[in-house]
Amino acid sequence: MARSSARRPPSISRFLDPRILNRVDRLSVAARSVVEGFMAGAHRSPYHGFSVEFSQHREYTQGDDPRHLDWKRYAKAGRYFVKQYEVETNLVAHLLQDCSESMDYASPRMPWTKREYASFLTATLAYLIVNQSDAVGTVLYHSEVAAFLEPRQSVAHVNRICAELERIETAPRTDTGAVLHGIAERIKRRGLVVLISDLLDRAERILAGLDHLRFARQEVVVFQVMDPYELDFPFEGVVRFDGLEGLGRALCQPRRLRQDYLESLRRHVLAIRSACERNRADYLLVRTDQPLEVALAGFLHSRSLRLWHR
Amino acid sequence: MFLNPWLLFGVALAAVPVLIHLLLRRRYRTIPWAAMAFLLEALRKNRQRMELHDRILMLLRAAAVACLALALARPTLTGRAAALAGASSNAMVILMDVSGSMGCHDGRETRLDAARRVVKSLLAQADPNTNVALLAFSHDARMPLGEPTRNLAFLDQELDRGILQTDAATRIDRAVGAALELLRSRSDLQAVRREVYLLTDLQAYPWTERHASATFAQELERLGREASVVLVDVGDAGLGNVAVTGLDISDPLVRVGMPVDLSVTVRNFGRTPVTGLPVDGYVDVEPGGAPTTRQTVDLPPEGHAVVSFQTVFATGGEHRIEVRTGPDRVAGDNRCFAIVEVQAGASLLLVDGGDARREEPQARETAYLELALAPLEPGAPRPEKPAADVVPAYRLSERNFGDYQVTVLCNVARVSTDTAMALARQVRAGMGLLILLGDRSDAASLNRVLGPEGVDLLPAEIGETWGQEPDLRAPVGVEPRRLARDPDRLTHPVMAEFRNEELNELLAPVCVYRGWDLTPRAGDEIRTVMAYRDGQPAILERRVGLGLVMLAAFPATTAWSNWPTQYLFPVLIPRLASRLAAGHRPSRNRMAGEPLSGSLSAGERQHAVFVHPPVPEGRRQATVEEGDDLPTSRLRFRYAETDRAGFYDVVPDRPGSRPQTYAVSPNVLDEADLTRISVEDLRSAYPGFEFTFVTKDEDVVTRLAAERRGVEVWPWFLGLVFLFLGFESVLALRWAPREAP
Repeated sequence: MARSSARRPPSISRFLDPRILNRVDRLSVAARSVVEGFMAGAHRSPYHGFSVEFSQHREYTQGDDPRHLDWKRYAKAGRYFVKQYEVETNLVAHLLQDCSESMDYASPRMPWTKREYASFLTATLAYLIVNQSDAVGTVLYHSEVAAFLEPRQSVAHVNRICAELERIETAPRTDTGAVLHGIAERIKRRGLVVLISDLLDRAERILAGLDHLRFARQEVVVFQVMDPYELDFPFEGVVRFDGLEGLGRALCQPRRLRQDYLESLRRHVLAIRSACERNRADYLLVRTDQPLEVALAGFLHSRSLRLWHR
Repeated sequence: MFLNPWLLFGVALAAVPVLIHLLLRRRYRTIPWAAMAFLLEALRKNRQRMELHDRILMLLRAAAVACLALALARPTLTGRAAALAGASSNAMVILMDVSGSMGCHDGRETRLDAARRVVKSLLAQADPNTNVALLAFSHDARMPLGEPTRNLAFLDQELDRGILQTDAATRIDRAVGAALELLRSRSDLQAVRREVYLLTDLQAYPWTERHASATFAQELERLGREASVVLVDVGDAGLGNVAVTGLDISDPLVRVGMPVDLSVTVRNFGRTPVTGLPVDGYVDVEPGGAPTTRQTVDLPPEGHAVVSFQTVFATGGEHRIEVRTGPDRVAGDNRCFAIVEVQAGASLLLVDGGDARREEPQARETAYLELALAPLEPGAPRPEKPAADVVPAYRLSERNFGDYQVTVLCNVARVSTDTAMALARQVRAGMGLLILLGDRSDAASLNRVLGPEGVDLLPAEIGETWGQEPDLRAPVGVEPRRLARDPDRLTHPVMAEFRNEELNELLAPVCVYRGWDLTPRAGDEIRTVMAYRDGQPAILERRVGLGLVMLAAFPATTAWSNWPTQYLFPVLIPRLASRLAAGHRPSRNRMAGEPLSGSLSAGERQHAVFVHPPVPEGRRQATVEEGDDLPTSRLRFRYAETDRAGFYDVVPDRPGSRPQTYAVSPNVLDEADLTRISVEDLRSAYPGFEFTFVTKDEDVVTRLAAERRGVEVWPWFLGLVFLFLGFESVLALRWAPREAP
């Protein structure tokens, strides 16, 4: 039975696990576009024409544009600081999380549902992005956008994101493709779009949405979150499967269908992965029995390496 | 038809796999599922195939259960269906008693007729695919109508003329053994159901231990396990029987012109007396002729009488004797047959080895023998006294020993080598030889010529003399040796009658003052005829070829003993002579079931030997073989099919051959006693023998209808069970879901 997030008392920090944060703290969710600009040596914001305002200082880190070094502060503190402007960052990330009914599934002995796992992922990513002084926004959706938080670059914004994650109720339908199309139209600024979903939806619509985002010059990262039982299908005996999101019922002997089920799933995943590769989007299949920090760290680390070596 | 119809309920259990399938579908877990699309796609792709597989497996399981139930219910096919099934519904072994008692007539039919009637009804009702083996048994078991066959019409047709009455005794144990051997060894008798029908008159004696083999009880038990045994009683109770149980000829040394006494024993096996029973004797009378002599006799209940008559044979050679009594219900045992061989001339040769210069007749070594063996005047009282030729020892070589039945060497000093060889040749051909040792006997010469180094006739080595000649006028001071009288020591056939108290007294006064020591040689063919009280042999006998040799330690004169003057002498000497004359030749008089055998000249080797039995007409070939106990000049023939009483002529297939006639009498020693054994006593005596008992007057087939259930086809159903389970296992394994890569 799917776990209900309503069973736990609301807690703003529930999806921010200090242990996880501690492990992924220094990782950077850097955008490819940021690295491209750096490597090109243009030292110019690719976002010409934007008005920028001084926002705050932050300590210099490798990769920052030296033109923004605040020499006065350096004279005072003896350390390098850069001036940060409102829209100085190269990265504006939008985190899209699926909140449909299918995400409420959890297999026996799993401590969390897919949605909870995804929420952990969303919150952690938001934290990382904000932590590196980038802006993050969140889109919670099911058959349509249920909540849209504009990108902000503050810790308080992360808390708002977590609160929305708690607040939004699960809906019985999903239409990831339509949401992707909508986001592609809505987001004007080039940035990073992270899709966190089980993608148990019509593949062609999802692929079309990914294509649209790519056309909109968005960089896409896809986290497909799935439960181990959905991936392994280890059921025995006679089982009646009641489909979530109103997809019907099936009384069968799962063992006899296992091979074909897995083959069908494999084709779906392969289609998603191929589309991601075609659109130069990063893709990661995440099992909810996999420690989040391991999955996230591995992904971020490999992504960083890939970006720096491009 | 089902042998266990109550097990048919098990067919309903074929629904169990279906119920299990349905019940399992009702017992399931419910799981909410997100990745439903993939599951539905897999289900859509496999639904039809899975349903088909499920139905096939369910059908196989249901069919296996149904077939198992059917197999346990033991279905059978009968009639043409059984024939189509390709298996014999029954294999039948029919054992028909054809012994002498089966000729008993109850006023309507003989027992054998009743048995034929029952067999015909069995054949008429048998499935056409039944293999039938029909054995006729009396003293042995044979298949007179050939090998087992399904041609039941042929068996029915040949039953009357192929299964014939015999005069032999009953050996049911041999019939049972033959049936077991057939059931074991014949592949055409390996049917699902096997039946053995034993048709007999339940005469008591064949079922006793004395007349059956040691393993009879076990064989009966095994027969009951190998097949369904039906014992058909074709006899009936309450019948008495009169039979001729013996025909004795007083003396085998019969000569032309010599009166011969014939003693006929007639026995009444019933409980009512028989009066005025005619007893007819036929001497050389052609079939259908009038009897030579007729007497009547009265018989008490379960008693016997002896009828004697005398005849004189005018010519030498074979003479046929037949005795018949009045008719009763068992005609076969009212007859008896015998062959008498009559000598044309003297049949004994006495050789006087004494001093030829003696002129007194009584001084001859053969004097007392001549008296003891001399024939009496006609009308004088018996005993038998054959005539004898007397020759001095020096003229021995002139005699042709083949002319005599017995040669007696009386105190002969020595024997030439040629004479010894001639004697040996004739002894091996059947002549009897009596050697009476005396004061003139040259032991060393006799040992050398007649002993192992010579012609090997002597039963003992001649040693030294002992004692001294007595002066019968003054016997004081000489202690004689006396003859053994203990009945346990009178074991020789000639001495057996001297166990009788009256005759035993004749041994007492005989005193032997001097004699030769005899050291018997080793061998089963050597016997002690008479011994001293101290156990040492006085007269020894040895079987040599077809003849007999006797060696006496003292002469037949009063020189060394008082034997010739005692009553024993004229009683014993003729008996010794008779035994020597009979020799070791097979008797011409046999009982039904006993094989005929005799010797032929080796010159007949290249010719076949045929036997003409009394019934049926025609001739049969006898087997001819050499024998270690025969001289090289002789062959032995053998013929075993002596089931019928009467005269059998044995004729070598050579022009001018002279037939030898043998007389076969009905085996009445036990067969004439019609005492029956009850079924209860039979079951009690053989508790392990399982059988169904039926009488001849019952409708056997109807009675056995419940036993006849056609061919059982349960093995087929069991085979189907294995087949279905095998398929189910293979398919279940094949269709079992595999691990996903």
